[in-house]
Amino acid sequence: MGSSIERLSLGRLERYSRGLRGFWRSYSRNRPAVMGLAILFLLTATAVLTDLLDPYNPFGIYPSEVLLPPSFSHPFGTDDLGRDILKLVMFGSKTSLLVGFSAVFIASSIGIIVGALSGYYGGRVEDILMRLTDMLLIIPNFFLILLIVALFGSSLRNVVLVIGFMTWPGTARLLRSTFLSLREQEFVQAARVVGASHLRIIFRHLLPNGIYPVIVNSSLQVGSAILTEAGLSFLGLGDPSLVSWGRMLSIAQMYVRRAWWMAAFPGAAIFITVMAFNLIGDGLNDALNPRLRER
Amino acid sequence: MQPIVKVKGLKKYYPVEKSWIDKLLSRERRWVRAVDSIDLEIERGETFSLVGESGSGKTTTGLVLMQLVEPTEGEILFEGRDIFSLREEERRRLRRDMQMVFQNPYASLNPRMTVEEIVGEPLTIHLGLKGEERRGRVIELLDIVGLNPGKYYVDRYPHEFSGGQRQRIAIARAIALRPKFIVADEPVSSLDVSIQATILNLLQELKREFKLTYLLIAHNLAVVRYMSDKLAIMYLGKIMEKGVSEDVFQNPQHPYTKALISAFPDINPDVKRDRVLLRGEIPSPIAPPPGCRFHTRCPFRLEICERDEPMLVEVEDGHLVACHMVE
Amino acid sequence: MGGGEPVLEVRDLRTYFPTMRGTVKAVDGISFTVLEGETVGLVGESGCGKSTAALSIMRLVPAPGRIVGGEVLLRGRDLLKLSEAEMRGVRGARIAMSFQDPMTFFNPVMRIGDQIAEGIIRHQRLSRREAWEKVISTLEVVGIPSPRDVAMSYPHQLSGGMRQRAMMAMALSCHPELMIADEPTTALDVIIQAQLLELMKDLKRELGMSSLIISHDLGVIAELCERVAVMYAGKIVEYSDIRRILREPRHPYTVGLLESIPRVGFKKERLIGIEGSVPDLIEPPPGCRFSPRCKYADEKCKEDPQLIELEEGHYVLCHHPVMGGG
Repeated sequence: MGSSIERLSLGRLERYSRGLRGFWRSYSRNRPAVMGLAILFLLTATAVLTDLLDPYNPFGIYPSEVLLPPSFSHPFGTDDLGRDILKLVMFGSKTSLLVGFSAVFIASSIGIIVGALSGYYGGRVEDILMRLTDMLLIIPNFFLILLIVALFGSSLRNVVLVIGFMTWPGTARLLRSTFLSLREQEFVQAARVVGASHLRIIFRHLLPNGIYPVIVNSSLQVGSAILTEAGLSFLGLGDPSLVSWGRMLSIAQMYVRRAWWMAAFPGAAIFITVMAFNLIGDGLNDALNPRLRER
Repeated sequence: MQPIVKVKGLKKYYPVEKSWIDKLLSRERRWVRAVDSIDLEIERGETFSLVGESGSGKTTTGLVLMQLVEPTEGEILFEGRDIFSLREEERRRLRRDMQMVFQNPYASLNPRMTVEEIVGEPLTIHLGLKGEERRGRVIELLDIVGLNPGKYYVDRYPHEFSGGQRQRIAIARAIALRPKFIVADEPVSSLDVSIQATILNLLQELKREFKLTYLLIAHNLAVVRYMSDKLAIMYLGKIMEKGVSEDVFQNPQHPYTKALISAFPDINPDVKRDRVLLRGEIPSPIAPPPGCRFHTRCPFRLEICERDEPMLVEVEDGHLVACHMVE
Repeated sequence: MGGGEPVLEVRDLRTYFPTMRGTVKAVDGISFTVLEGETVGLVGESGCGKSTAALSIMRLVPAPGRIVGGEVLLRGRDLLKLSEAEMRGVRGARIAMSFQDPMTFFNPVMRIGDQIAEGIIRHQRLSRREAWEKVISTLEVVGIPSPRDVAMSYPHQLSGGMRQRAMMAMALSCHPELMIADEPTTALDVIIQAQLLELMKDLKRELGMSSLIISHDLGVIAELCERVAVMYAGKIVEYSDIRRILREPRHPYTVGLLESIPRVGFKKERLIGIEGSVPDLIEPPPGCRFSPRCKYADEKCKEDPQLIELEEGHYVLCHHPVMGGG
């Protein structure tokens, strides 16, 4: 309403920080989402700190300490080679986050480009791009990823690339449908009337208005990419030179009766991490959705 | 003097999406005849109104004029040049002279841009203005459209403004490049009555100050009478009557015009109105009635109306009517 | 013309909406009466509270809104004191309401005829067949040319004008004592609007119904109503018979409104309009809510004005009523 008329003019920076504060106010109202964010901070800190403070080789073998249950010196116990599981889980967080973020970065970039082009131009461009998208969508994703990794080798780079290149269709479809409805809005017509180029319309007018659902979706996708990596490693198709929660689970299978802790802690790590990203996605959805935000 | 805008034989047909039955029977593609061969001349400095109900084609005409939609057939001359034969670069250059104000100020302003960015966009695109210079010009423009002092408003976002204020911002954007011609598509119909008047007055003032020419697209006849010098009444993609505004209002000739004027609820409690009530509703523009398009609802229909399409004929100086009754 | 018993009396009705920022006083102490056989208009611009007032009478205020005070008397009985079950017997049967957008009113997957029959069956305890007969005859009353076809159609198959007529048929089908029409013609083109206005005038003549018309369009109100209440920012600022309001408006807001309206009957040389915008209803300006936009406002207007009766039946909520017409 008209209550804002006599407020003084604000600097750009100040408005920006007010926007951020407004975002945080509505985000923080969602307690679980704040918890998700806290977990993410903890994980990131763990991944970074493990690398900095404890560059000690996680692959050493300690025959005297094989399969020890959780204790004061080994809070998560040790594995079949005598390694400290807490340490391994900490190293694993780095792999998971690396895979999750890089794969989603690739997938989102492709998805945004494909979705934006087909949603904005329509016609032939849309037909071709969307057929391609549909094709990827109907193929069972995980098995294709499995196949490609099996064929081309399972280095970290390959795993990231494959997950990234296989999971963009959701983003593309999402952005396309947003663009389709935004494209008809009067403010886009108005931009054309003042002579804005196609690129300008896409990047200055459509994307800022249509990106939020994509951000929410990407946050959920990080969780699912981490899960995919764990799945691949579980099946023995992860990068063998890295610690991975999935591979830890895979090995733990053999000892599940004798050493429950070998499965329990990496399993819990996967669960908590994926859940954190889902909670964050949920919180972002509430905070970025303008309809919910006013409440 | 050469008219600033001349529309010759303009047609705009939209294809109707074929259903699978149509495809199976390989039926011919059908068309929505939104605008079906109209001629207009708009003189420099006048306000020309296109009037009609929804589905009359008035909005489509405006969109074609603003090059937002390609015509199916016909020419549009702006200062003598056919705008659809121009090259991309020249067409963009033409945007400096032709601008538009949209119907819904809640939709026509990008919600994620500040007023400076919205009003400054044409300045950046066409004049390459940036930074303080652009900001200064935007503040100036805001003052002109009655959002003063402009510096209080320049950093705000659209949601901080009322409907009337938003329409002022949209108008500031439209006049930013000092255009010669502005299409105003229902510029006040989504605003409250008391605000409508202030926006209409602003448009009048700007017209005088900047020597503008308006094409006003509207369904509200009272608004049209207040604003226009000339007008054209449209029905199902055709012009039924056109001429000097006061001639048409004081001496309407076409039965449809009479019906429109008498249908308009007026606030004078003493007027004993004899309504020309029309039966039924506007037919589909996919298969408009043969002969005169209005004959299915016309209270004075003759036999000839179902067969022959009436031509626009001049009944008095510059007052044209398409009706067999007046021939 | 009216002059009979009051059918509806609204006394000091208040409906508030709690929000994060504070309480929106959408309807803030309004009073008016609808007499037997009379049509009363409630006119005002968007956000003035006229629709909330109508919904309050029906006790259909959407959450989190709440009726916090006042009385709504239907033939002397306070509807606000009824139980929800009793109120269901009032809605549709004794008070009917039509809305601006019939598309959101009708169930999209039910035939029009079934929807109208449902109310008849519930309120009048008729059999299905009898109810359908009644549906057809009511659809005829509202001027629908082929009532059987329309009764068999789904809402999306009808045009806007037809839907509006069907909704009026639904409202009329149980012979309500009071009909409330919220923006009955706003979504329609002017020709269809005129058809509907003529129909409503005919119905009023034939059925002698009492109704309350909510509209932003003084033209529509002028055609249909005998008396009118002008609302601004949750309050009724002027209340009188329609001719007096149009000829000798006394509240500066009414005067401004009338000066803002272009006329189709003659060319006005200049419209005046009202500068500024509707106040924030969470923190309304102190005293008279119109004062920030009023050219007559002075220190006195910072105090709450009282509704005064300037002449018989002409009420104004203003410290400085305008004299000598607009």
